[in-house]
Amino acid sequence: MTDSKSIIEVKDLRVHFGRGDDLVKAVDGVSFSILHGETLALVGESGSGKSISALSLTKLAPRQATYAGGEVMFGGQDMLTLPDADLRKIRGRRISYIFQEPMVSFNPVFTIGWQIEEALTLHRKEVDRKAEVARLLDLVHLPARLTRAFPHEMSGGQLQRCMIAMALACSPELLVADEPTTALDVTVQREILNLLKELSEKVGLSILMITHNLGIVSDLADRVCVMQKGKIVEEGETRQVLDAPQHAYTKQLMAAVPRLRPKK
Amino acid sequence: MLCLGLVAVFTLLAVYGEIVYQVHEFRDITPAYQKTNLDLQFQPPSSGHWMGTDGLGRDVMSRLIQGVSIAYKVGIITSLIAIPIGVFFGCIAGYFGGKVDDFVVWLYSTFASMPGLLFILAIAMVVGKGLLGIYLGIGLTTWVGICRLIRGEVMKHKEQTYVQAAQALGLGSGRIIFRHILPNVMHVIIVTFTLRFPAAVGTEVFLSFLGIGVQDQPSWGLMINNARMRLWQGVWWEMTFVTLAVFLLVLAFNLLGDALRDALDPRLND
Amino acid sequence: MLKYIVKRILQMIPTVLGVILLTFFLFNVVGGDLAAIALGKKVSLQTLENFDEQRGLNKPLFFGTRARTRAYEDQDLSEGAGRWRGWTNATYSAESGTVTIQPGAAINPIAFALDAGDEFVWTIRYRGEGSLAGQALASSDWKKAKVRFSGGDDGGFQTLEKALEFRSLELRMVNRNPLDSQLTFYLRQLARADLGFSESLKQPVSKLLKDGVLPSLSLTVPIFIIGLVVSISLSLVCAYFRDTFIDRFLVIFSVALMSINYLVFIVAGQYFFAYKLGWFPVWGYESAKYLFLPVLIGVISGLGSNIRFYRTVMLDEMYKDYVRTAFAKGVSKPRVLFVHVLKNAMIPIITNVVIAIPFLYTGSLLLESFFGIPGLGYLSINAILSADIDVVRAIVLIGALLFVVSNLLTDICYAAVDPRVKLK
Repeated sequence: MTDSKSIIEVKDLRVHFGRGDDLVKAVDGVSFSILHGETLALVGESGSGKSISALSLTKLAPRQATYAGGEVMFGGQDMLTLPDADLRKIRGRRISYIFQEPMVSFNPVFTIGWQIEEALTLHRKEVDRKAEVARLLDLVHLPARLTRAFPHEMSGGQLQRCMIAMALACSPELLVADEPTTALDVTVQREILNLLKELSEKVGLSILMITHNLGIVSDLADRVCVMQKGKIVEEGETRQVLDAPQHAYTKQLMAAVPRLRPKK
Repeated sequence: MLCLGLVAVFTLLAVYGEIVYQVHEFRDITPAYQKTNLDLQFQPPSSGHWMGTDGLGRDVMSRLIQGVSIAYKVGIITSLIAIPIGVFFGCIAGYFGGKVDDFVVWLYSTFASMPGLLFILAIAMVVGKGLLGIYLGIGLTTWVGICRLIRGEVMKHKEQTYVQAAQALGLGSGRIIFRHILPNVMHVIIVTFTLRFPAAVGTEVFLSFLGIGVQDQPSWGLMINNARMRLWQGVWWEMTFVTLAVFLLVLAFNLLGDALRDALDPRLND
Repeated sequence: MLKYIVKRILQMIPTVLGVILLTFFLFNVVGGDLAAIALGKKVSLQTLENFDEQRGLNKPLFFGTRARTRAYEDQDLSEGAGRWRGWTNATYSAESGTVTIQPGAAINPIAFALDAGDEFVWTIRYRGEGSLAGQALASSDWKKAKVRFSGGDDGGFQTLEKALEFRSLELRMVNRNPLDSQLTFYLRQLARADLGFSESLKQPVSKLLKDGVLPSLSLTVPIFIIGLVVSISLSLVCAYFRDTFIDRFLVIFSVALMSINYLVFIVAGQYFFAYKLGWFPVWGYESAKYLFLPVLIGVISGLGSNIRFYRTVMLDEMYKDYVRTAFAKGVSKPRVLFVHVLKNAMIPIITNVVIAIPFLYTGSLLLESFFGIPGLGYLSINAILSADIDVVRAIVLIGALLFVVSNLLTDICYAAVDPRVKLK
């Protein structure tokens, strides 16, 4: 379901690494927007700048990165110029992230329950945290007893669900998913994707999905942006782009997808 | 890089010092730096003696240079003892695993449990006065760290496909270890040597300071000992220059070791 | 958890055995003539023998029925007359490498009175006529004979009309129980918690150790605790201000500190703070004031390498993915560092810390010597310089055993702090 109001608008975003001769323009003039309730996919190969673009939305790019230009308009403010204290209020509360490798994205010495609770403590102090953690785990179809479990005691699929639960703790408007299923087994991938679809419809969540897997794109995304070498080379409705790619690069990507049935 | 330059200078001095020593031994003359001349006692730095003279009228600078060659001898010989032992045990432990590994781990755990400096002193005491005791003492305590490192590295490499390929070709274990794995582990050995060198020198300074080991040759520890009491009488130059020399040597090798580690570690190239 | 501890203790045992064996190897096997090392060359053979007797050094090393004795030490007659020089009735011949006992002589080459309860055996290659320890020897050709006698008997030579020539002569004590060896002696000593006797200080070693523990601890425990607090704090500062001026300055400062030889700290510290500025007393152990300077020096000299190590640990953690997740959740930088990173960093830090515990006991050899703190370090140095074997061996042994125990503690701490450690 989409709504004509865009919740986030990225205009001419530029993110650079290094200086002088070593300058790398990881994100070179990227613009897109995401509508309420919409799932937008950022597709590209490794190094295309899709992850950096996603991380840059709340200035989470690695320390060596410089935000060289552009705007990220969210809630009427430019994220790139916000002071740290304000940025922290948005992170985890209005814009949440889930990452690629759940096994290392959780702190190994704290329980899952503790880590999810932390998100609540930061942004929703007034709530009964224990009950809320149980509710969140239930939302992602996990038993409440896992509150006391440590990350290494759980499977990749379970951990990724926990990460989703943690990300949704404060009912964010936008969920940024950076290749959330790449490190998981194929069957588990399916479950996670279904969960995301279910949640997106249930709570009207906007999702920015970073992936190089066109299958996921066709499954989940309403619209897709194709990135190559830091720039967006094609964008549009998913069906359109996948069935009738315009740009040469997009065509290459489509051709590279292995098919189970012979091409007619 | 600065530290490379420093190391080069020190190495040259060491070689120079050794040549002077050998030449004098050969001709059986007392070298200039040993000649005592009580008239010249406690001279502050001057044009004749850039670093002044010590309590027996000997030129501090030339003694300092001799000290460099002694320090180098200690660093090199102790490494020649520790590294082969450590590498050998580390390799067989890492490669063969099982009971061999258990034995090696037991062996180095036992050695590692010994209280460091005291153990070296005990070895020196038991083996007798002189450099041999020091070499053995430092060498026999340092091999443990090297063995651990090498064992870890060999264990990592053993799982790699190139080793399996070599085994599939029917190459003998010895050949695999020494011709295939060892070159890949070489960077660890080089870095370890560079970093162990100043530690060995530092330990030797302690030992000769305490009166164990070299007595007649001007090792830095001995010079510091001599200079200690005289410091209180206002004779600052002997102590200052020696400590400066030790500091620079240790610093240079530490920096070099760090730089080598960063440069040679294949993992960090990402 | 209890099963884990028991399992670890069992695994400790081979190492403990190894340590005991290693000290045995070093002191008894490699040691050579320990009595001579400890007592010097000018003492009588009897004194040396007593030293050996007290420490079981006149037994076979591991196993055997024969032991050497200083009463008659082995001589290689082909190399010289040795002890046979200067006897009136016994002449040494260099060309044949033999000693000839003249007729009508009674010569006892045994250096001191033997214990009547022991039995001894001469092994002699002789030619001629005479008697040795009461047993008659007669042969015109070279013959080898073994003569057994008791310590209370006269073990010497007697000749009548003819001369007795011999070219090799060995005295051995009979060791009735072949299992009574240096090794078992040592093990039995340890089992009784008998750590030996100090020759230079004329006291049992255990007493010396007991006396020295408190002064050592009064120095090393403050150094340890203060050093720990300061270096962890500074390393946290480094991690927080990563790559800024503060961090870089602290790193350079640490490297410089590390490169300064320990001795320099001591000498310079004593000189500047005690002598020149007079803030602290120079030497002695009268009151707490005397500890300030050595503790200060101890802390500062250790700072360099500790800060570098802890900083590396912190930074390694900061590059991990869970830190990014925490930031993405909106956690503030101080909280990420002090809550998320610190707990993880604690694991390698604890190892480093617990391993340092045995050194609390052995004391800083150098600090104690220079500041006159009568602790175990001071004791060790004096023992080394005066070749007081028992003391050195005892301190080395106990230090090693403590190390093994502290490793055990480390493993337990690990299991308690890191949820990933499997307690199987």
